[in-house]
Amino acid sequence: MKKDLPYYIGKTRGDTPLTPEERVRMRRTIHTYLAMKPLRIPTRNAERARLLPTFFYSPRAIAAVLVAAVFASGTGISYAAEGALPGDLLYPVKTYVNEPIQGALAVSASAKATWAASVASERLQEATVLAAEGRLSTSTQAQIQRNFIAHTELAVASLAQVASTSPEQSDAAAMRFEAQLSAYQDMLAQVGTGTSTAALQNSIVLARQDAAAVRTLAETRMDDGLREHAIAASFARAAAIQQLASSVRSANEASNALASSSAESIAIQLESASTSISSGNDLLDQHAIPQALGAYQRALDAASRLDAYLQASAAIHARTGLMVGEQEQAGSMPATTTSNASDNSSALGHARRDAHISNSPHNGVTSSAAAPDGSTEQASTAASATSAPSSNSANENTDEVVPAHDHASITSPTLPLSLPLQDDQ
Amino acid sequence: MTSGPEQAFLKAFESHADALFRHALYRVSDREKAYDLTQETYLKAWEFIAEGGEVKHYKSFLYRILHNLIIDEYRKKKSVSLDELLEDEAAAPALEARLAEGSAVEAEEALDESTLIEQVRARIADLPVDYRIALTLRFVDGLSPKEIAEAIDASENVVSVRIHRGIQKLRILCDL
Repeated sequence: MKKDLPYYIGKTRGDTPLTPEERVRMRRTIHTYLAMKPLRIPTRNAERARLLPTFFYSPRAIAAVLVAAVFASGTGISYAAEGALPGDLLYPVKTYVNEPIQGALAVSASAKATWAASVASERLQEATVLAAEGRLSTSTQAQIQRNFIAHTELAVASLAQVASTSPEQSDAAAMRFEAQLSAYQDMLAQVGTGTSTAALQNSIVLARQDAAAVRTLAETRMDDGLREHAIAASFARAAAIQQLASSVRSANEASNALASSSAESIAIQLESASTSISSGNDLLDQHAIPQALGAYQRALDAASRLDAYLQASAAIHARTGLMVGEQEQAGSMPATTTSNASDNSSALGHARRDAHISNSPHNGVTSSAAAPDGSTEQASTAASATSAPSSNSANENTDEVVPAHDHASITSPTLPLSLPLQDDQ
Repeated sequence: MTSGPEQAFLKAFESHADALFRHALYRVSDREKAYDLTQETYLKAWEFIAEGGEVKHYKSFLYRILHNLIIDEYRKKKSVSLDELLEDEAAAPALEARLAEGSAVEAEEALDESTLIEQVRARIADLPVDYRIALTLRFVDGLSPKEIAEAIDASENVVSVRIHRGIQKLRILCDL
């Protein structure tokens, strides 16, 4: 009796699964990628939606409710404390509760490195904002410096540990850290009027040297084979995309904070980083892997600096109401900010679309960054982006970055703060 | 410690990595490329999950990503391979030639199973690409028509039609 055709079709499969070695290798890569890109902490919106019970009137009950509200996340982390600066009531919660909890959740060496680096950067951002406010006292700077040094050392040690198993990943992470440190050093030098920020800047210099040393270590551990280069390019690309997505989100948050000339410059920088990634993809297709790696690294460096600048600008604006702008824009005529802010939004809106990386089919994840309106929308956008061919998004290349309108009248008081660029630019 | 989504994801790796790799190998005929595509599939899948995405059915989700990566691969090829040319509907004359050839030569042969399998394998490569993919996903990878529809972003009807027409054509080619 003849068996039917589907049976024979099934038999054509042949037994060519992954070899055990290939499986182990892929599993390792996936695990390290998981550590490098951890799950997001759940959004705060769900937590804030909890209603405060209104029928407790005793002072003790009210105090308990307030404490519960502050720690409403259920994970022990207080989202209310995330934006605290030294001197704020919730700052101890941020540094003694939130950060250690997040640190405990980071189990692998690479997750530890990511966490420690982000805490170190956070210290620098706090110092930058305080300096912009003119509130950075010597003692506060010393306090920040101690914490910064401790977390930098931890980050570097973790990165060195990662370098022993996955040097390519360590290289990309160290590069990102180095770029952020460099950006903050630059910004501190610019805002540090009055109180000198020299002490903290010195610490940053040392930290940068340590990060550079880890990169050297990682690079000596990397074999010189084609596959290793390809792995390095892969990590660099993933890091660059992630960092660019973060920058785009930060740009959205900072759109009210930037003076018009800065917004334009930021839009150009975002576009440039996005183009670097696309160039890297093209080079990768042509098997020009070292060149692709270079392109991705450039994008990673630029996006890291952008992110630091944007986050600092948003924080400064939130605290002081000052706009943040390029040096030449240092005007001080008070005026309305609304029209300027909307132009910034349009300039940045175009930048967001152009940073969509629409000319490459690889980047499903970035389209989720271009719609930061809510987590569900991100999910569906990412899902459709991974499936849809790039043809429809190619049309968005025709959007130009519209420069912000020229205002004859100067806007709100502006803090002069230039975007920290790469040293050789 | 791994959270729920992470565990589910890692389990999906253990469960489906082989199948995805086989499918990729079937489509691109290059082991290293197939390895890269499989790995890329999982990395992209994780990017989606890390950003907060929810995955209901890992199997068709992963096949979808892989299928699109493979399409991207072929799109990027600078020179069109002969295989791709043959896959067009415009290759119908070549199919006709095969039909004539097949019925004349093979009708008298007694086919044992392994020969038949080889023949099926060869003839599948002659099918138009849409049919080939549908048949592969259905009978080699074992996806249901619904899962196939999700993976290649087509309706279930279209998938069923392609499967049936593919079987018909293949039957003729193999003289069954």
